[in-house]
Amino acid sequence: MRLDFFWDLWERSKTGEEITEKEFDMKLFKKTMELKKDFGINFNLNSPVLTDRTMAKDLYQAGLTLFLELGTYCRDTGRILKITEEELKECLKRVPYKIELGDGNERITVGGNPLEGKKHVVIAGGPCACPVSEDLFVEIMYSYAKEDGVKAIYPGLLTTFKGKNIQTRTLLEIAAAREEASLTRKALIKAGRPGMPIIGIVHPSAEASNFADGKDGLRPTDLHEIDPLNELKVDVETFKRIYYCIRNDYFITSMVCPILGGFAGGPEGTAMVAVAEALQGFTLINAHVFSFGITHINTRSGTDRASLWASGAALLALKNVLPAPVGSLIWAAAGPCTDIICYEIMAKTIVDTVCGADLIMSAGSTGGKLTNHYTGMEARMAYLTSKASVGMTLEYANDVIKELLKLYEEKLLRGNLPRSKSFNECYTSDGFPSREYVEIWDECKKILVKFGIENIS
Amino acid sequence: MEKSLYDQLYDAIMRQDVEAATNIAKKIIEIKGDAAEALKKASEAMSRIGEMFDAGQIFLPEVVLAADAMKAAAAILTPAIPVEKRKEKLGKYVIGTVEGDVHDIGKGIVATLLEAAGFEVIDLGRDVPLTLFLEKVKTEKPVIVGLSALMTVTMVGQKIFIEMLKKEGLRDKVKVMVGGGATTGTWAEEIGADAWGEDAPSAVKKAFELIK
Repeated sequence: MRLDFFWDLWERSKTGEEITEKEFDMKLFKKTMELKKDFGINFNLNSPVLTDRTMAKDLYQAGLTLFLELGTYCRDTGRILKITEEELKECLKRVPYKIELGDGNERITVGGNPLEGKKHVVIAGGPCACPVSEDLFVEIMYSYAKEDGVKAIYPGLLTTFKGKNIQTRTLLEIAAAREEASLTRKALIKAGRPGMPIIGIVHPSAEASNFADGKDGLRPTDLHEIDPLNELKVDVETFKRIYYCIRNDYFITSMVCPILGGFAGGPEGTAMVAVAEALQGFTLINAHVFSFGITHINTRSGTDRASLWASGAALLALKNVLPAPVGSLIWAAAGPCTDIICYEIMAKTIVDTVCGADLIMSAGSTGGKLTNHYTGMEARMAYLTSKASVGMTLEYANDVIKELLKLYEEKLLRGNLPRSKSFNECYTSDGFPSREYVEIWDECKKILVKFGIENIS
Repeated sequence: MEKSLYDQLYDAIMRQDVEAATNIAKKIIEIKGDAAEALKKASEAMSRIGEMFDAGQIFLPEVVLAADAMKAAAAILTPAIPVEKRKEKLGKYVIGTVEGDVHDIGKGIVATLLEAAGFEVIDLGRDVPLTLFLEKVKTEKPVIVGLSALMTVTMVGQKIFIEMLKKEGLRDKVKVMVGGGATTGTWAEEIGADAWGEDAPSAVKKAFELIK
């Protein structure tokens, strides 16, 4: 059934309405503006967490309308492929309420999280596809793997392979993809957690991504990532990945990073696009989990006020209606061993947990720019914050987030961030954070104690 | 008091109204108005658009629509300006996303703002073979080549391109600017690029510095 539908969609990508990419982008923008008005979706600057549950339901309807009426654009064919409402319903019936990943003692369940954080969220720790050097790859991954609160791991990408720069569409990229999975596996073994599920591994070429699989690489119990393009677009490489994963019966996460300020427009349009891309994920991409990380076009992070709102709103919209698991990516502007990253991670984690995320990936820091600026502490902070947010209402979360934003928002918007430290500067080689980093975290989390959140140790 | 046609053109571009910008430009020509002055106003509007985008007050589609309005007006006004009075283009700027990389939103913004600033932009698109960049350096003789890359596995193309320029004896014939999510100032220095475009507004600013 899945394969039949896949081939049908492949045909539609070649026979659907022909349109230029620019026309599609402008159509998307105009449609989101229209739907914003029709459904009354409005971002309130004074409410960074959406507390209007009716608006969340309307947001889902807006996203659904967007997906059904606009469709998905295939860049390589220059055509739109659309899915009917009936086909969407059939696909959604097949998506599991929850899935099990990993092996042995590290086997975990992802999904089944009700709204307003009544249940614990799975934390996936890792550099989240950010650049990591060969010499530190295992150490950095180990720093995540040894965190008790981390239940899945999201590797970084190698900057070199055997000392050589990696160029896409070459043998080196293929080798690097496998090495990333294999070195991650080594780090898990070193931490005594060989069965921990791995999320990833994505390279520009489908061939390289697929080569990450193997006994020492990604396994059937891991979560394979497929990244459609911004916004509501795919290409032939996407189809290759989908086919590969379906034929091998792999668990798939469709990962998107809608750009706030891009063609989706402002926070309302971006939240709508995130909902539409979730529906794209559960249909065209054949995903078991939909994951997303909204990123602001100017700050290059997902922790500004508008992005927090859009992420939370999209989560609420989806989890109100769909039983399927949803993951959220933390993309921070600051880097390790700074107060700002502590606040960014706290803010995004609270929003994600309270708005219903089943999985939180922590974290891509420094906007993904700096090599080796990723540590297990970022995952620890997400775990502790998420645990402490369980049971929080939307209204309460809104008050907490408003206070947190006062501590970092201005610096974020001005690009006035403290110097980030690399792994070697704030971690020991046996995987422990420096005293300095721990003290910074201890100081920063005091803001939550003010709100009576004391169990954040 | 009714606004002058030049101010109306400014407003039309700020409103991203392609039709209005076209009609006003035509009116200016009809009444034998100052086409150069009108074009100057249009450029001012685009600069303001760039500032508003950078401040998060407007979004990318609005920049694109404003640029369309400006281009529509410029297409009508430019032929009416005597050749000797036409503001010289600042030079050709070849831009593209390197091969293997399909991300081009940032590159698109840079191209739009560079064009509005007065460069003659040759946008090669995305997933551009390095050999095509090289070919364009030879045939178009640009003042600057800009290469964008979002990922570490594609940004190495920027390094390879600079090496290709050296091998062909062309390195000193063109300035190279690199940018994109994966890049940093350190990377740009390491590979011998002339400038790093951290974001769209700074890319435009650095382009001006490079042509001094």
